[in-house]
Amino acid sequence: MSNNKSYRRFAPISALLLLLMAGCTHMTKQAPRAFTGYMVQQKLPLKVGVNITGELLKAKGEYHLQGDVWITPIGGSMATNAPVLARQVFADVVEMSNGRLPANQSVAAILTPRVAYITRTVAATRGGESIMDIKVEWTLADSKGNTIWVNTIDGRSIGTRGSLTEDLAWEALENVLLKSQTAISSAQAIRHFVQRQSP
Amino acid sequence: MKNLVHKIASSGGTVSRLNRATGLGCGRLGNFGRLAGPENRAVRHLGGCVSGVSPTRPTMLISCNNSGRFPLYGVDGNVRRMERNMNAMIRARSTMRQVTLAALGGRSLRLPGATAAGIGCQITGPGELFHHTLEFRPYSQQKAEHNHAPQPSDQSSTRNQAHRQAIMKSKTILLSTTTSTMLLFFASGCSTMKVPPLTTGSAGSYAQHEQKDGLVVGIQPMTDKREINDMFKVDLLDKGVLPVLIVAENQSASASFIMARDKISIQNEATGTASSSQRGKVTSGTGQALETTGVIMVGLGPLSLATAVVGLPLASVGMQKASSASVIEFNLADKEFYSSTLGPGAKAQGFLYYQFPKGSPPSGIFHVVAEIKNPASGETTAFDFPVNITPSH
Repeated sequence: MSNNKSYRRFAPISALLLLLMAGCTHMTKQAPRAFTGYMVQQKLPLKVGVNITGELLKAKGEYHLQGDVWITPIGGSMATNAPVLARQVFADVVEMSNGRLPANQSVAAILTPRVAYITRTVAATRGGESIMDIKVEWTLADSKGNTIWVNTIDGRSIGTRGSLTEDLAWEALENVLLKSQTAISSAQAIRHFVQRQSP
Repeated sequence: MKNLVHKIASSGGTVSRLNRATGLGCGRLGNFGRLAGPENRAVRHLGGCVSGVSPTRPTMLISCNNSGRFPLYGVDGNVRRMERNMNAMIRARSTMRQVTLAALGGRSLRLPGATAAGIGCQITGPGELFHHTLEFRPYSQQKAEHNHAPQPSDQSSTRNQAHRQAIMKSKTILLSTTTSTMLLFFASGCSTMKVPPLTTGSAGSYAQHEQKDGLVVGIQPMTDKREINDMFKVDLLDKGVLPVLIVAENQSASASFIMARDKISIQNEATGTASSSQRGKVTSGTGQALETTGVIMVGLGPLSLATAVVGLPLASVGMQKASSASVIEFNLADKEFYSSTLGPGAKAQGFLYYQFPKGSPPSGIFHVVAEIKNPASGETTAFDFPVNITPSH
């Protein structure tokens, strides 16, 4: 009898402990938004297709802390921001999905972003440094698929253990986008390609 | 001596039901007692008391446990029944004095890990609340605190002397342990791991370098364990990974060069096998997704590489280890060679990670092969570096 009572008494506690030990998965719910803080610049006279791939849309980062997992679906934000960024750099931009152009459209080059790496380090102490790092690989290829330019841009933000993952991710993404704008617009290989395209 | 006195207050012990026919009570356990002051670390870990209703008698039981490292004795204590109607506490008929002196202070709690239990007071009805207060002191203070205590015999004096020596030894160990812990804490133990930045010389400064069409590429396999540990904070060779540094400089005045990561590989001359996505293979425990995407962390999170290379599942280790694992993983990824296009005067650098079976470090002739493209002309230039790898220890 007393054993049964003990079981009944400790069963909820055991269940709670198991639940706590199992940890939780948290999904960052921040909706993708467009970054608007680009530098104003003269646009390159080129019609470019921005290729949003399924792989990009699925890209996500995972942050593990004390058994909990925070998932940051960065792919959606990149897919939203890649065309916006391209419009800052190129005169004409067409959005593509998985390499397919919209009907009756043609482009001189195709710009494809890919999230090469995303992580957030775990701080050892509450006030310790936690780094969010995102690396995005940009590939610009001509209409035949020949690579004109490729570069991997690194963006990061630094917070503490208590910093919200979505805030750090957004800050790192802003960093990536600003650096990407500079890298694409200043790339000599792209400028040469633009010159060759001009009549 | 007063700062060595600690009170343990154990509240709770509510009697919820009382069988009127038998007089037996059914109650819930009270809260564990807590030390009133942190002054004396020696008794900090005393487990305190828990109370409950006896299953056989209408009495409230008090149980105390010495979960610290030092012998203790109880000098006083009481149980107060909280009289709900009067909104005041009155001393119960039965006090803890008999428990503390006879059971707790006398013998049972002297040694670390010992538990003592006794009757706290009689239960008279349901809904009664009790407040327990006990005082404990380090056993070494007992004599000083109780001048009226009987003088010990010669034998017990010898025993006490031995006991005091044991306590002094324990204190010395505690002091040295605390000092060591503090030193470790401030040295590195409890801070986030720092990793050195990757600094490289010019591509031409490496023993193995080549120049073609204005592009200089230099490589250096890292086989020295100390050098690897300094750079990566983990023995990569022991984990089956050989890091190879690659540095490229475009010394051309006008040409650009594309260095795509998938066009750089390490080939084993003996077996003819090539590896181009080394870090991907390090973390390839997750299967096909990595090979198709060529991405290490996307969709997998930082756990995969940390688990594969560092061998620490983050969820199940301490915060310090989890932190170090994540920093090591980030450091590996951050120092990796990524695809880039080198304009005139530009430089690129990073490591390629070549995976080999654990326990059999690579040795013999390997070739680091890079196919580098000039996007303007479309021409591809191949760089081939034969490397004789002899692992050092």
